[in-house]
Amino acid sequence: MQAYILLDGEYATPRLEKLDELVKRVLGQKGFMITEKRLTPQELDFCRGCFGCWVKTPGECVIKDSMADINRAMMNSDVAVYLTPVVFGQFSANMKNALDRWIPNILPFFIARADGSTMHPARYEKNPQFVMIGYGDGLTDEDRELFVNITTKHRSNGAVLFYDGDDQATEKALDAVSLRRTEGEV
Amino acid sequence: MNRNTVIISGSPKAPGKAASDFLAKITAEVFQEDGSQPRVISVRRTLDKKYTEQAFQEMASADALVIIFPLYIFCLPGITMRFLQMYKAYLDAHPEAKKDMSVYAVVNCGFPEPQINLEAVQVVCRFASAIGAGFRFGVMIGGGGMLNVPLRSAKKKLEEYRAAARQIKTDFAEGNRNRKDHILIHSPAARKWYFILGNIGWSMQARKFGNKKRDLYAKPYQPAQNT
Ligand SMILES: Cc1cc2nc3c(=O)[nH]c(=O)nc-3n(C[C@H](O)[C@H](O)[C@H](O)COP(=O)(O)O)c2cc1C
Repeated sequence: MQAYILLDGEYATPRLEKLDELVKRVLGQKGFMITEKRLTPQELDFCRGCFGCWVKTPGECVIKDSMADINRAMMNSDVAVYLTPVVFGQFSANMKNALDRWIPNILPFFIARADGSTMHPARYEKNPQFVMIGYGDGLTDEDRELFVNITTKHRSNGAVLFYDGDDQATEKALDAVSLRRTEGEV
Repeated sequence: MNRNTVIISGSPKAPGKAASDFLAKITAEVFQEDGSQPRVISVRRTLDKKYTEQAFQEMASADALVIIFPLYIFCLPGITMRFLQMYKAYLDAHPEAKKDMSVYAVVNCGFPEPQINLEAVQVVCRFASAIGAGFRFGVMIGGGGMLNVPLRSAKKKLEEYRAAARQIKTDFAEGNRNRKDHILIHSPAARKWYFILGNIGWSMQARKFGNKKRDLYAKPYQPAQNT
């Protein structure tokens, strides 16, 4: 079993370091091999909205930087864990660049979800289970609720939890997440 | 009283190619109807050319900020977040520049349903509160990419947007006393047609790069065990 951890080196607070240790320990105990990527400040170029990853080089971003390695490693993992600062209720810029540039892994076509909303089909038969762990100093209930809605309302294979320094609570929450590849919709 | 408006176009696309740029232009036109001269700032150009200091000074002196951007994975694109985070850091470093202002959000998305832009509008609301500004309301647009195609239904939607921009202008001019709901603008094409035309569109775009429809299903990162 393979786990991929992506974290934001731009917000490398003591809390992130504790969280990182915790996640690595828990996943290690569960028998995962772990690959970790710490994004340096502004390491990733931002998505330029060209859709080249869908129509020019299908499945691969046209920007040549470390995102290709990240996507390849993620698609070869059973679980992809994002340790992300929550800024204004969403992902920090660095982490958001990584998420925006994940779209090579889905197909361009429009289809309807079971609930009638629009979505893009998955490119691969199986996908890693996504686990988003948000952290930040002084996160309000509003920040948390917004982050949960952003990460879960419109997708099928994402789990979301928060880390506020309480290792036991986060470990328990992580235990409740199925850490297996998912099939079908993302 | 000085009533400065700054309109921000937050799309990462090459300048001029984005629906957000188009919406920023229309918004500026609406404000100009009353003789005001709003400033339009392109996030991509500002970051590429490293004009951030100048842009942030202009933003800090504004009485209203209209933040226009596309929906990316159900929230703000990385580039727009980068810009807003940098602006917050600028204000933290220049606390004297902080002042009361009204903030509006205009979000366009690729899917036909405009209501999926709600969380992105709420992020702008959280941003406004983080910089000590007052958030007013959002305009949420479905099928944004179709807004500037020469179709009668698209023109109608554009007029709807112009009316929404006028509501922003009036709300700002009146001093923002009443609570206002977000404004929804639905896709110009019916959902069924949107899917059919959209899906044909992807295959046509692929052809420009010498790709057939079946090439679009490539799996470059297919893992051995992921079959
Ligand atoms: C990385 C990426 C993510 C996107 N995510 C969404 C999405 O979650 N929902 C949606 O409806 N459209 C999504 N879109 C489509 C854009 O919102 C749409 O094309 C929009 O009209 C672009 O506006 P612009 O021309 O101002 O950049 C996404 C596009 C890109 C490139």
